[in-house]
Amino acid sequence: MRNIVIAGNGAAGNSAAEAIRRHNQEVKIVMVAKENLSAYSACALPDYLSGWVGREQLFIKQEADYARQSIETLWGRTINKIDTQQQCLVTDWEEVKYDQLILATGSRAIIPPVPGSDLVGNFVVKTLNDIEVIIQHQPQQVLVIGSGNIGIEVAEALHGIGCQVTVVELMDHIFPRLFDPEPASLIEKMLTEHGIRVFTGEKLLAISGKGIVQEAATDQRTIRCNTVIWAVGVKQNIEYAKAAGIKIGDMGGIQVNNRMRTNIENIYACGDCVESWDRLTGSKTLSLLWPNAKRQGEIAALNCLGNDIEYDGAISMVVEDIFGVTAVSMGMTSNDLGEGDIDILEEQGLNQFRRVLLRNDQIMGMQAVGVTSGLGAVMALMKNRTTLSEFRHIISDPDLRRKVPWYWPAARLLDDFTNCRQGE
Amino acid sequence: MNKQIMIDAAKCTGCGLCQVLCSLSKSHQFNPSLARIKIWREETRGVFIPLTCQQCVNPPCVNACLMNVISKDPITGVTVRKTENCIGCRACQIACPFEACSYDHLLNVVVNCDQCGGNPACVNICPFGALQYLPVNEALNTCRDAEAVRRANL
Amino acid sequence: MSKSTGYAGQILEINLNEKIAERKDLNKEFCMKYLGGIGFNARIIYDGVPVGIDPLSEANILAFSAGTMVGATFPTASRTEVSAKSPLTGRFGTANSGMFFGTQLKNAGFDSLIIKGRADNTMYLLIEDGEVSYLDAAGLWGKDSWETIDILKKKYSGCEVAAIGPAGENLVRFASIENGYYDAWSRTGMGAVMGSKNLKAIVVRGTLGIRPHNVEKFLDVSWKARKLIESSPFFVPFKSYGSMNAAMPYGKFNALNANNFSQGCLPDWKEDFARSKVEEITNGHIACQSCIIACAHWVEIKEGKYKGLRMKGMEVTPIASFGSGCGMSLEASVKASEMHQKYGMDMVSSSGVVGMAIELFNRGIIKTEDIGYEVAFGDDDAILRLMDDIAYRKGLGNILAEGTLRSAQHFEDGAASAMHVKGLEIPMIDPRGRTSTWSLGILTNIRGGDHLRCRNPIENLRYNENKYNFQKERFGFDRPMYDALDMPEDLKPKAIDLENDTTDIAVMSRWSEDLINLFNSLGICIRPPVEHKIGPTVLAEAYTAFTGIQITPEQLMQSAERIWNLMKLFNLREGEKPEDSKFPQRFYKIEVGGKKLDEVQMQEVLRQYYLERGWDSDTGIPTEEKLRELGLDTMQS
Ligand SMILES: Cc1cc2nc3c(=O)[nH]c(=O)nc-3n(C[C@H](O)[C@H](O)[C@H](O)COP(=O)(O)OP(=O)(O)OC[C@H]3O[C@@H](n4cnc5c(N)ncnc54)[C@H](O)[C@@H]3O)c2cc1C
Repeated sequence: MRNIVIAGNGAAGNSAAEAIRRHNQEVKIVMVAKENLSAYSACALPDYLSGWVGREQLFIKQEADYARQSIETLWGRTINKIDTQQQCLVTDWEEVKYDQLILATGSRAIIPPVPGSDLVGNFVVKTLNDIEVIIQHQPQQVLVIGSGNIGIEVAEALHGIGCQVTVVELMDHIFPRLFDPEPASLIEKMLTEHGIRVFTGEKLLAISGKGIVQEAATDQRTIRCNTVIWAVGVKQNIEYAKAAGIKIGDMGGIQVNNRMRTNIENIYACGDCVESWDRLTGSKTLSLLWPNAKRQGEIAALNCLGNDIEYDGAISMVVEDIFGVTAVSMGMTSNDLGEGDIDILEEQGLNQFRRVLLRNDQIMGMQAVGVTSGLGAVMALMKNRTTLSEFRHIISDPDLRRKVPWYWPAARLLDDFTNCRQGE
Repeated sequence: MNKQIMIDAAKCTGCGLCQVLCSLSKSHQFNPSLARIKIWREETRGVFIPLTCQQCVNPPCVNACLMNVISKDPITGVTVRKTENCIGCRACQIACPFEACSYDHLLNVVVNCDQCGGNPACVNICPFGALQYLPVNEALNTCRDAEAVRRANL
Repeated sequence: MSKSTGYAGQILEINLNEKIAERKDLNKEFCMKYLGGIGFNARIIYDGVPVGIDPLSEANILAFSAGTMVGATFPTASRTEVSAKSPLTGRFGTANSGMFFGTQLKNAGFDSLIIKGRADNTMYLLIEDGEVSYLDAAGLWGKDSWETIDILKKKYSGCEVAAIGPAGENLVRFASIENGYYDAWSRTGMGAVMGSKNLKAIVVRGTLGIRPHNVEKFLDVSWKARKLIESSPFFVPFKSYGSMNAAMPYGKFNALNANNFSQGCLPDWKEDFARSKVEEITNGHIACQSCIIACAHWVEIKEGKYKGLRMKGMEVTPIASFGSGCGMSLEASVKASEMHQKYGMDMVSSSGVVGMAIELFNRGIIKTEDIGYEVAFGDDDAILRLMDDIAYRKGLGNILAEGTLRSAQHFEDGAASAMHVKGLEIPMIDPRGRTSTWSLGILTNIRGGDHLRCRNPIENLRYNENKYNFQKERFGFDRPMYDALDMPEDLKPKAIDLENDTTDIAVMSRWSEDLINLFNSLGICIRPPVEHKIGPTVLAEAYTAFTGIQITPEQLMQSAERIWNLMKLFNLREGEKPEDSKFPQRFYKIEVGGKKLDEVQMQEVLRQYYLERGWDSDTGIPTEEKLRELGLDTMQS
């Protein structure tokens, strides 16, 4: 019997396992993962930290679910090696033979070698265990380093349970990868109004304390804190793969083709550990997002089963709740696109902002704060590469628009911009 | 055969009966904000568009869900949710092109139309025939052309 | 009261001077006696407005009350009543409008909104889930109502807006409060009251929900009501042509206000004008909350000067007021409707005062130099210009903005051309052409010359016979219709003579006023397919299921009667005299289509009506006995 082994029990690995089972009840599936837990969503960890959701709610699968789907689970194993000749995965416990292997080992959070980053009170937020040790530590004054989605979510969560929170960001605005400076500063304002201190363009130099974190020094100030949370980025878990001769891309993720295949026969990869490409621009990217990990897992699985399904690239959509106000980033930012040849449509109101980025009449990105309706339709236009002119043509023609009534919400969103800037 | 709630926006007058009855059926109160069907009102154009779950074949909400609570019922084809695990992050709501996910602010979860288990209240009460509950094929033939299908089945 | 009562359960009282709000819980007794909607307002206004105050002073209060059953499945339950002391009539001012304002108000947690005092600076209110915000309206003041609504709807998505336009800001005495883009609380100058309070708009939005007491029963009775409405012979015509239905027969009877009540009908309006025009320029229907009829249409003017004009329209009142009352073309009448909605001005009163001005111009009393340009019936441009002058109180418009009663005093023998009852301009039906329950209602209406608070539920507009001394009208329906009528069995034979096919106008007027009052309390629509078969029996069932308060059909009608009497007491307290209940002299003296009214006979019909009401037959004052019966004997008039 054919034996498919999946390395990793995260979004990508589980999506792959489920796709296989949807199409094939026969093949044997073995899942191997380091953590000794059934699958949970990392995205909800900040909500667990804040108490908004309970621990049991984090789990997207129970042990019984694996059994029901006849998935053999090998939890608590660290993969050390792949023997590509023997088609065998080597863990610290056993060797697991595979006919096909899907690598979905994700990424891990990094702590840069700053003086004092080894003191007690330094944490990352990546796994359930990370959250539990933070809670045990009883954080009071917290310094969050990095203001990507994880940094900000954690800052809000800790603020919500009564901590005094300061965020330090090296770049000149928060959410540097998700938002342009203007919406980012609007969000920053909301955070500060609620009592979170935010310092951008500031570099952390050192952390000090007697065995335990007591103070942090940036290039601008010193900050008293008993807890430092590192949210400065991740590194792909690919060392074992690299050693086996699997090609790694320039950005540090496993290289795959548009079938999610690696350079080695019968080995596929998906999720945070791969280097994929952007759906809109085609440029290389490390997506690091849950929906993309799921889609990639599905594609890897289907191709693994012998179908020929093409992956059309990663597209980003991140939804943030900033003290009850929804902030959404879709597609690319101005920075990704390079200011030069883009057109910008935007509208700013009180605690509201929306900006559409266009290149050659095509929607390349949208950022919205305090506005939600119509975004899904805009996302669809973006994915379908419907140009703005085509869209406007359809919406202005009663016969055409009757067939796509869901264009209306997008129309309201794409209408009435007071501020339109043309790229040079 | 799977059935679908077909929307003929040209017949909608915007009366909102579908919404009040939907919220009553699902949340025991008349409360448009809890309805799983919305009426998109383009008041200054005289256009009213009922928006509810289209039960997409490949739904963007399923992919967008960060908790993997949304799936397609293999028998009915209805997009269903395990709301116990929903964290109310709204990612599905934002991803849906039809504005068809509703935030249930009583339970703090996002929900969508489940066709009332095969007897949709909104269809039953619509006085103008703007909502119809039809087998999918028939629905496709009567109400959509290929272009609409291409755009809807994202 | 418990949570599951259908009522939101609270009245919100806002003091604009102090920016404070007080919440008062409803109690069962108050609910039973005053029901909701106009009933709540009657009591609020009666208790809260000191006698003899200037309606535009800060002592006046403005009350918004959603009908009891608004926002649920009961068909057509959508209406909200707005009341205050009227700056136009000095009497009980009140207006009713549908759409979705009431639904949002109840979902925001309130059945009624009472607005007192005057804001120091222009302000708008945001009422959302039990909370009130007092917001600066500096950026909105001066904008027309559509611009205002645009801004507010964008800012507060999913909200409903009640706003005034320039007419309200400029205290035009017949300014309206616009209810969204195309609907309004229009008559009796509620917009001027709002303007006098420096209040530009009220934004409501809510998610609190409305909980019926007995869900199953309420759904059953909603369904039953729906079947009753759908089986009315008026249902299909109303669905198709909306209120324009009435225009055709009234044209044929020479019973329209044509050129300021100088003719019974204009040539255009004689034939199948209304229906064919509806077919020509409309597409699509628009409904209020929970309406199964959707009588309103979407209008698009396809050619001519106003080509491209699009709006909800082709309601008989504006079209007949402008088109027939002032002789404007249909396209210009639609344009005028648009303008009135943007400016927030009552179309009936505006066309009435303009009709008067044109007549005075024709009589040589108003001169070109008084206006700055010539005016004539049918001169669309001049009329639109004059209306613009009124909204902005420019030139002669400043006088006309005071309404017919007041402005007529500025002109020699102006009163002869002022077509109002009790200061309120009479709408498009001319009682000389057809005397009916409807036309008597213009005399007896609490708000003055208006046709919307009294209407025979089974009149058949095919007939018009003047042989009954104004006391009866041909009713024109068969036995099954008579049987289906939801009216107490002992009243039926008094109101309707089935054998001779006539209705007794006095008896039917009293009944229908109370019935419409009941509708306006519960929030359902008075349009013919509804008023036809829906009555106290089905409404008592619905009210009981919805609120959990046991009520009988008789008690329901008694509450409606109580409300009417209380409003009458308000008017009497403000000095209403028996002789105020008169039509303009022209109706008794000058014939249209060969007919005029007999003053003595009309007085006799009025006497019969007073008796029917249990009021003094000469003075029209409710007797002590009547007041005791209604539990109003402690009120003073
Ligand atoms: C706090 C937080 C918030 C987030 N919020 C969002 C969000 O809002 N939206 C969004 O789209 N994304 C979000 N993400 C990102 C998202 O969680 C990841 O993109 C997603 O989890 C990637 O899935 P994956 O399966 O590729 O990897 P992972 O979920 O990281 O799974 C990797 C698996 O591999 C196993 N593994 C790793 N190394 C080894 C080894 N050597 N041997 C054996 N097993 C190994 C691990 O135990 C794990 O089971 C968030 C992430 C975090 C941490």
